[in-house]
Amino acid sequence: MSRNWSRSRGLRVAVGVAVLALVGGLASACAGDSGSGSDTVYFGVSGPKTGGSAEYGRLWQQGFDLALDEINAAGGINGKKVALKWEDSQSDPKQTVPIATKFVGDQSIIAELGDFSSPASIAASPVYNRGKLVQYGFTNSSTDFTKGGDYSWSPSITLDVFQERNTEWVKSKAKKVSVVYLESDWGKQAFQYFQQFAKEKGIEIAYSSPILPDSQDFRPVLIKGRDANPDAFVHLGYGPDGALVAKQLRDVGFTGQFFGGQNTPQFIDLAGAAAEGDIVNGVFTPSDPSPKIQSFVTKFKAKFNTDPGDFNVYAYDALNTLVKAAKYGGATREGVLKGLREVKDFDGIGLGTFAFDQQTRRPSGVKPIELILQNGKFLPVGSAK
Amino acid sequence: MFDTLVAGLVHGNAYALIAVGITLIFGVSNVINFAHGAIFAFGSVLGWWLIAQHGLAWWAALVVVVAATALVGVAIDVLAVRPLRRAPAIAALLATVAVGLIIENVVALVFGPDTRTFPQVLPTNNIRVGGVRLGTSDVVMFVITLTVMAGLWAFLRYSRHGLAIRATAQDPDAAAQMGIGVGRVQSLAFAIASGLGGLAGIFVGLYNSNISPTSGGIVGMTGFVAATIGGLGSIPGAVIGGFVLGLVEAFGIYWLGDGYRDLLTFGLLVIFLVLRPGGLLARPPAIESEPMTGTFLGAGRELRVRWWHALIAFAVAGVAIPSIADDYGISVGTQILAYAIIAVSMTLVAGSAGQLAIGQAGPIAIGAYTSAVLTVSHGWAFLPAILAAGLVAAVVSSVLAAPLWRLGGHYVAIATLGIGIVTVAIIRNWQSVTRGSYGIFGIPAPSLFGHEFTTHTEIFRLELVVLGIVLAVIVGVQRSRLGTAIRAIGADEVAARSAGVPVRDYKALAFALAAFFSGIGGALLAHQYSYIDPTVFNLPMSLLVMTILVLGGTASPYGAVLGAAVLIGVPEVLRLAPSWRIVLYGLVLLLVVRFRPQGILVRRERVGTGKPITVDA
Repeated sequence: MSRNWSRSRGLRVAVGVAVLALVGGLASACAGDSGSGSDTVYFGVSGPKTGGSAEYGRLWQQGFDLALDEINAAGGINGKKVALKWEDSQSDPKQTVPIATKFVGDQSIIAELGDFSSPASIAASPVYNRGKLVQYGFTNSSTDFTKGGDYSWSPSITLDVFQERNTEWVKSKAKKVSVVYLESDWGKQAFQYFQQFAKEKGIEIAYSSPILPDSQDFRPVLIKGRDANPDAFVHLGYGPDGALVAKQLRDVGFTGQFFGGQNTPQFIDLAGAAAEGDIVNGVFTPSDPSPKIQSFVTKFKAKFNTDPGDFNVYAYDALNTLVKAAKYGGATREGVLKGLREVKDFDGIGLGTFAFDQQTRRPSGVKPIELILQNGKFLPVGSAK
Repeated sequence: MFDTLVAGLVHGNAYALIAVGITLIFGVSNVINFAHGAIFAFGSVLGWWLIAQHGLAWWAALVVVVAATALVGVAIDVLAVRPLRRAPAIAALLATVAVGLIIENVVALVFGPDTRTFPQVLPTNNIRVGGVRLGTSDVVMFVITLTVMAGLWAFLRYSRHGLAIRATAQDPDAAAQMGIGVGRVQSLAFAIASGLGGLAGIFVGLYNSNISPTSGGIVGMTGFVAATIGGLGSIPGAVIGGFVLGLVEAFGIYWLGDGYRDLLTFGLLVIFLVLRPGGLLARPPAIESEPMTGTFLGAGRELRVRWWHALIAFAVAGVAIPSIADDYGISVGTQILAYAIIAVSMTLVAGSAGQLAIGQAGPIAIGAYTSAVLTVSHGWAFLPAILAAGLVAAVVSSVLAAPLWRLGGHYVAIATLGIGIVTVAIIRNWQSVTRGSYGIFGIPAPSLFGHEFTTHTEIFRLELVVLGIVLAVIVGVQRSRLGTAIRAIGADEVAARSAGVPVRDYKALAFALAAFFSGIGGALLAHQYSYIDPTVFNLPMSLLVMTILVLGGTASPYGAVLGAAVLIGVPEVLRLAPSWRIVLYGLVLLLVVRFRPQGILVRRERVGTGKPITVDA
């Protein structure tokens, strides 16, 4: 008897959970429309808080937090307070689509920021464009991203520009290189442009291999790359994998020039001495002496007790850019779009003063800078020693 | 060449440590422990925390980590695995999946999600061998592996607890009758295995130099492959399997590049399962000892759903839901329906034929890619493309799965898992057709007879119709003579074969039917997302389908629909608590598996205790 009783209670629990899930889903779905008349303006953020890219979400959050403090202290947007509604996408294309639908349906949101990876953003682009909500993919360097429609904008420097500059710097140090690149949409596109510009500039690619994002041990690939006798090793990927590549390269006995990794404190920390002398593309360095940047670095350090990196800056600049657009065009969806189209003097820590090219919906004429890692700091090449 | 050999041996050593834990738990509890990778990651992060943050000596940290992970192992056994001893084996597997999710995400929340440097407590590159540098740490790890293996072997061979573990592994019922506390023995096995996982966490962290809370997934899977290659349940086998896998990976990647790693690892798994299913050292499983059959069906009775119940439910769903829910709710609804279509078709394989397939992302991916490539690159219309998607998925999956039907029990599940991953790896490397990692953009919205289904509500209704068709077909098959034959195989394969049922053909047919509808489900997902790339069709997707199926009751098509609603609805609802979302999801999953191991829409038989009656020969 008691056994049957506990069984049926189990059933009740399970059915209860199911019903709660359905009712809750509908309720939360319906709750989205409130708040349009209040005195707070929201930006939706679609980005990773959990999963493999979670640390980028954390870096974004720091940038956003600093920007929000300043924006709200300065009176928000025409007197309205600014706040974020953040949805965790895990940077997964399957999740960005429902998130986009949720944001489009939520009238209190006047623009969207993110997602982290270009595929995750591009998957959601049709929803944002149909819903006429600006999708500001501020880390989406894939050249395809802004082709999603009139509402898909990005301040990110595109991969072709990045790799054109990269090959230029490689050429000054090496004639023959081995390359490893991330097996992803981003990494393959980066390698494709790298190959194209390497050919134009006369750099020989002696060996190349993709590396899977979840690989931990790259030694077999690096040994073969080393055996090809290159002058330099080039890595096209992110920070964590770049640090592994740099360290393991030294383990297999390669002592030549390394290009790769990422301009984040985390990469510097993870790679340690193995990456000394590494050269990367960057938009920003905390050691830039300009007063504007030093004031930003000071504020950032006071709040988070660490140096800011590229991803903090991307997020900080992105929110400030959208707020400036909204101040110009009005704190509405159309207002943000109007601002992005008409403001000519957006001002960023990373990109300096810029305006958007209305055809590509990207900043016109901005270029990355060449940074070299010396004594645990990325410095602009030529500025030190 | 020599340095690649060294690299392979060092990595193989790490795999061996992980594989031993997996194989030990499998041997004793007959559970594939999917939480093992998370324990490994927990061990490495805890080691980092103790050494780098608190300045503990590395050997002291080692002791603490082994103790802590062993405790977590016992907790997993007591809270998740043991309550499910009488449930179908798959329920315990899913419980470990849930626990793995919880551990991984709690560790990320407590210690932070970052990748970090593991402190260099032992030199990692002070010894030069050929072109590579080795470290004291590698030598120490190797010595520890050898010592641990020898110690474990001696423990199992000579000590009383060791004998109890072996007796339990051989026959839990007989062991219990001999007065062995089977539960305690099982906990002991979990403690030893998890402690070894923690140990591996520290040494692999030292070797790779970088660690992160999320690194466990891939490590756990590779350890699992190593254990299977060596022979599940065999400890020396796990060690050999670890080294074999390490060497094959090292030389294969040296030769082909890292893009082929998945293909190498899981290709090796599939080859072994086909040519030598028992692995290197274990005997191939005999059909009599299949853990899956019988237990699936014996314990529960499906709640009866009459056709008019379903009709009313469909009418309500088609009319009422679009009028109450907003766009977001509906878009979640479309996902629920697509997964329901896939899961419903799987009830024939899992519930009726009693075969588990945990690699369903394979057929789903084939369907999605077929339809996407045909519509985007060849200008096909939606309807023929989606039908072709089903056909291609059925044909390709059947060919790939053909050797499976000789296998029994867990081995079918493992093989489908391998085939699923290999399928997606092939899709990723076949760039000329599939665009590989670039993904396919701009997959058109579904359209029929000139009408485009652009809004979520329209897609929702379209998928509702497809689901209706799939349900009608599957329920029809289940009630036909064909269904009876398939069910006979699931209930008792030997009896079915004796009665003249061509067992292999029917299993293959059930699988082909499921692959057909899974392909269509995948195509619907592709047209609904408008973008696909190989990372969409990952292991979590396969596990999600499996979970939906188990939650609904493996043999119950209507249960599968309900399972999809719960498992896709819950994570969306939990968006209210963003950072704890996945942890809560894991908890919900764990509770549901704990209290409804037979599925929501399945009720325990009134007659009998539900325990299968066994007669000792």
